[in-house]
Amino acid sequence: MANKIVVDPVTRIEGHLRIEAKIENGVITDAWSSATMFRGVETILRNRDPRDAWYYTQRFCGVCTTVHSLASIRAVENALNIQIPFNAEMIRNVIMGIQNVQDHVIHFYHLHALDWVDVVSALSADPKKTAALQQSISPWKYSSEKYFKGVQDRVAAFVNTGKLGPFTNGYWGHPAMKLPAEANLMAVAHYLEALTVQKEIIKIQAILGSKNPHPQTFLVGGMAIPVDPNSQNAINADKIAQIRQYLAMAREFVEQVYIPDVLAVAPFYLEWAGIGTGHKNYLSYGDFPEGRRGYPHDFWMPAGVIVDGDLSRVMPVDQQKVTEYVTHSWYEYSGGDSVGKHPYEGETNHQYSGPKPPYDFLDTDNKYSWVKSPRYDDKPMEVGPLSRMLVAYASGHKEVTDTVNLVLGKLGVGPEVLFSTLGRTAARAVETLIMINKMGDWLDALVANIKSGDYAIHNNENWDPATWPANARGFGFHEAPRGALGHWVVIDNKNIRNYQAVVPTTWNAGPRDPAGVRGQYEESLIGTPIADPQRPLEILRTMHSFDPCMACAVH
Amino acid sequence: MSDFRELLDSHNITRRSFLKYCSSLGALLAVPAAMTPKIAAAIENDNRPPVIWMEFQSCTGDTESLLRANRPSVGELILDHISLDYHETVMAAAGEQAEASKHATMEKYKGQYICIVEGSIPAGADGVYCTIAGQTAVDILRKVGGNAGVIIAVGSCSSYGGLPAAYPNPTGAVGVSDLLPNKTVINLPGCPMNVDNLTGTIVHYLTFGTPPAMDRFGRPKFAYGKRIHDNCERRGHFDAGQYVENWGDYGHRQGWCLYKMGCKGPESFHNCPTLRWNEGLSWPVMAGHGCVGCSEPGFFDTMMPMYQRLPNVPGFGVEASALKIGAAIVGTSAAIFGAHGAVTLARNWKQVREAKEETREEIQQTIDADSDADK
Amino acid sequence: MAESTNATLTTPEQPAECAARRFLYIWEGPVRIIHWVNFFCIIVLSVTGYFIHDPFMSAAQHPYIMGHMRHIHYVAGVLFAVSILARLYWFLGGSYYASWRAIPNPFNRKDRETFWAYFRFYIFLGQKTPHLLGHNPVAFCAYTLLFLLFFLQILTGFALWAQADPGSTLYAVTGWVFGLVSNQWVRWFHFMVMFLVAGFVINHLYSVVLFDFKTKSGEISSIFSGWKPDHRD
Ligand code: HEM
Ligand code: HEM
Ligand code: NFV
Ligand code: SF4
Ligand code: SF4
Ligand code: F3S
Ligand SMILES: [Mg+2]
Repeated sequence: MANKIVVDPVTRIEGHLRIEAKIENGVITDAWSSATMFRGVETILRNRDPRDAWYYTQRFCGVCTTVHSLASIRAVENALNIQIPFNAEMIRNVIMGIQNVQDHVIHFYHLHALDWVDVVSALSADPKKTAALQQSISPWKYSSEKYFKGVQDRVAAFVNTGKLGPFTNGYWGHPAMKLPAEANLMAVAHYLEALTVQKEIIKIQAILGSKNPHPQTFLVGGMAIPVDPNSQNAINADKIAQIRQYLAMAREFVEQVYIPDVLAVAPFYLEWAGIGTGHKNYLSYGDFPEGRRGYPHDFWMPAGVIVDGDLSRVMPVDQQKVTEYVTHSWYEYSGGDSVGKHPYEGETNHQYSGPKPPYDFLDTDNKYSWVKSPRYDDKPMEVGPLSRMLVAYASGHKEVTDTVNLVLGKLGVGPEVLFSTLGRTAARAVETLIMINKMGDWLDALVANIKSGDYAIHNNENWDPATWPANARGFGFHEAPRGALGHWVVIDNKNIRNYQAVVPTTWNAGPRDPAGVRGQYEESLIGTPIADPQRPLEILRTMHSFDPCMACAVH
Repeated sequence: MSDFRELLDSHNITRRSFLKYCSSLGALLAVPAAMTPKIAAAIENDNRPPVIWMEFQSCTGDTESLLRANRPSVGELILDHISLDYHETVMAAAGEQAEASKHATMEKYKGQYICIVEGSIPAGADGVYCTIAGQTAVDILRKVGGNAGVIIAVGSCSSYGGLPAAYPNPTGAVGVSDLLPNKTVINLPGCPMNVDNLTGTIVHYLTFGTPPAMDRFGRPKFAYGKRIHDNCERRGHFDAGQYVENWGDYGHRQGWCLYKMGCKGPESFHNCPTLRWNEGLSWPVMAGHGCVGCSEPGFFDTMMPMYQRLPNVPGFGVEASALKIGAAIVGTSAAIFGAHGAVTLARNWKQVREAKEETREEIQQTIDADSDADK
Repeated sequence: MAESTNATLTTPEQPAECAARRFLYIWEGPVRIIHWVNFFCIIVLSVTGYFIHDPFMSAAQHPYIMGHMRHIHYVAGVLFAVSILARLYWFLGGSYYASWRAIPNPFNRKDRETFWAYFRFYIFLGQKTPHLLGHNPVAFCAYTLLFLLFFLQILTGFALWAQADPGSTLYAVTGWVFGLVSNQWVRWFHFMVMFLVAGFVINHLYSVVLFDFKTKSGEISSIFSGWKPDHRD
């Protein structure tokens, strides 16, 4: 075990992830993924009012801040058989759409980019050449030599203070860094631009839901933002105009900066199209209802399961096939730890059995993580933008197929490269593009419906718990930025008896199951070359391609 | 002389070793040796305070809030105003490199750096519910917080325990000041904290050199000195008696008061109505949902259920609302005394029938006795 | 049996006697006034307080109704507090029956006997109660508890009021309660005490009627007139 390395904390992610990996001859031969923080929100939810649950679950995560609210209210609506008004459905789509776009932008520029971009190298770039590079890849407005000179000066002044702040000890000059200095300077400029763009475009959530993070606007049965074109306190023409303006800003940035950047950077790292593959099983619950029948019908983004990378077969999703194991997680199941439990029967009995801190290594033969191990039909699944894009691509979804083919064509590669670290990063970009192009349709549908005189945003029929059955249970799904999200709720006597969430990062970051089958993170690290075990940049690349969110995963 | 020079002096760092540090830094950054004095000058003139931002049992919502900063923007904040030496969500380095950066700052600026904490700290089971690099959050906080110049707790979790501390608090989660009772902790509760309150606090600290005045719960008065309810744009409707009765009804569309939908503005101290969120764009009540009191100590438990004005008491049946308990008190009282009255009447009836005559005599005697006494 | 009234008394002051019959002046003016001011305040505070809790009337017919309700609640609250303070003063300076001197002494055998006699009477175990001119000792306990509730209600009421300005003196004086329990629970207690007081009132009305009828002690009229019949033979 002498050559087992530890990366803890894995940074530029949400939460507390620890990777232990065995390296032989410069290549990872085994890996263990562990989440090292637990809060117990599923336990906290017990005996509470199901109408309040969304507010608690929203705080599973402040990054994908809206997604657990939606899954939660959908679960309760499912349990109580509540249909919501069309306006509410479209408002939810717009809120979730911009969440997806903004989350992906932040991920690419602020969490992922520094794996590929050498900030210090940007200092030696020629601003003139950088300007030429920028102008060659898109019509983006910030492309002058003067502009890039300004950025470079600013970075130089910063570096010269000797206090590098968050850039201290970065992987500058690492042998795995391949970009030319000019591309690095361009990327640094976009890093700073994206900081501004993300905070602007997410204001759509403030307009529709008061604030971001953690918009305060969800309701079991609808939404809390009223609609009335003749009121100043409701969604009216002015608010719609504001939303349109931010949509335009997001679209411009995605089309002219994000996508061109991915296309410009990818060719330097094409070997990463063969690294980080994993189990090649992909799951998407489908989402974004568009028709009047509402959720869970008429999804724009299709549901499906792909096994073993076989794109010729997309199988339908059945929620009953979802189970969670705790064989290698710090929990105990009442029936023993070797069985999987469906979330309706799920348990969250936390019982730490790892080494006493401070520790150097986890006991990876036994329990070693706070993440449970979800399985679909007893198989590990990868979830996320890549899964969604693959399911949609394999189902013949027009926007996805066109965009994926376009990107693959530009890079001159086939769809098999998608099963990789680079594929994940590319799929995320593709998704962002089709999402931002789609969002206008939902806003239009909302506007058309308001025009028809329908101002309803909430179905009050079952708001009063007195109208509820004594016992009920339901599930709610959502395709969150990081993948397939499911909440299951059991309601007893007006209160929550059991609440279980199986979250995208739970799927991806989970430890081994009783059969010893690795989780997604673990499997995808196998075979990764490590140039310098002291500075394991390559581990970060593959981990970041999943966009880990550990607070989500454990909750 | 800059703050930085003073700092060096206070740590007995000689000019020579300082210049050596600068030239090695220059080498690291691959700049010409002639730059060394320039670097030295820049460092000396740079008085960005070092900041260590710790995340424990957090959802990273406060970090996301930080990213929405506007005055100054987060870019300016990081480049020009503070030196964000450790922040897991944004820093380039990971693992040992990340920890090394933290330790360097802790050593070099002992007692001077700003420690910002996001998320509660699990004190249960010897701290095993949150570890970073194999160390418990409790230990890390004691070290990083204990040696800081000033500590800022961002969000309700680090201020008072927040979500993880909600009943039954499975991990024994506590806020920063619970673990560091002897340190000054500036609490910026909110779920998440509003970043303008953080930049306001930092600017206050940098401008006036002291923490801002705080209330009895460690919250800066400039941000938490007034109730939501007293600044709320819907207050007129509250006093007028115009309330939202159902989501989406006429009153809701007209921006009437959300009191009857469970708004906790009357018990929440926060500057949401005046400062608002996302560069002053909106805030919960403005967007049609009541305040849930996210900035108060005891949040979540004391503020829930969300759509009811007063908390429920666990233990009576499943849970009982205040009104139910009240009705039970009055009902029980009425029942007891009603029964007492019925029994008393029944008894008296019997007595009266058994000793009708006797009673008459007694009364007569009493009258006689009274008139005797009068004489 | 007359002297048994002097359960607690070491040397009771002699109350004024009515010349016409054996009536004694027990409840002086301040006691009666305070009693009825309290009665009035509690009714007003409960009605307005309940409205504050659950504004059941619509604004259409009553513009500014919540403003008025709260205004009335606060004015009545201040009056109530003054009235309770006045009663406290009278508890120090009032007549024997109204003051601290009438506190039943648990170390006095006679006092204990009187207490148990009344207590047994309440729970139907005893038929007879010693004749008393002031409060009976069980009632005295109830009043003591009631006054504790009043203090709590006044404290929480003023503390809630003070939240409108945490820089105020009122907040400096009352704000410490929020360090003990959160302001939501302070409200909860303030709301709950209303019901406890209502529970007392039911008890109280029943008891005064009961004793008026059972002991022929002229209870009810005494709180209007101040005079009570003396049952000494
Ligand atoms: C017997 C005495 C009293 C009763 C029965 C009573 C009853 C109530 C009730 C039921 C509420 C509504 C609680 C809620 O649901 O939030 C309330 C609120 C309040 N009471 Fe009282 N109260 C009494 C005495 C007082 C006093 C002495 C004061 C002091 C001035 C006071 C000040 C307040 C205040 C400030 C509120 C909050 C009003 C608001 O939120 O606008 N109360 N009271
Ligand atoms: C809000 C309602 C009421 C409250 C809180 C209340 C409270 C009290 C208190 C505290 C006393 C003790 C007097 C003192 O020592 O200051 C008392 C005495 C008395 N009250 Fe009331 N009262 C209420 C209503 C009434 C009503 C409606 C009546 C008449 C029917 C009444 C009849 C009496 C009588 C007869 C006494 C003298 C009892 C004795 O000798 O112990 N009360 N009341
Ligand atoms: N995993 C995850 Fe989330 C997302 N996207 C959850 O549903 O990030 Ni915080
Ligand atoms: S205070 Fe709220 S936003 Fe901040 S970490 Fe806690 S749950 Fe997240
Ligand atoms: S909406 Fe809430 S904060 Fe605003 S006036 Fe009404 S109760 Fe007060
Ligand atoms: S819920 Fe929190 S964000 Fe403001 S409006 Fe209430 S304090
Ligand atoms: Mg779960």
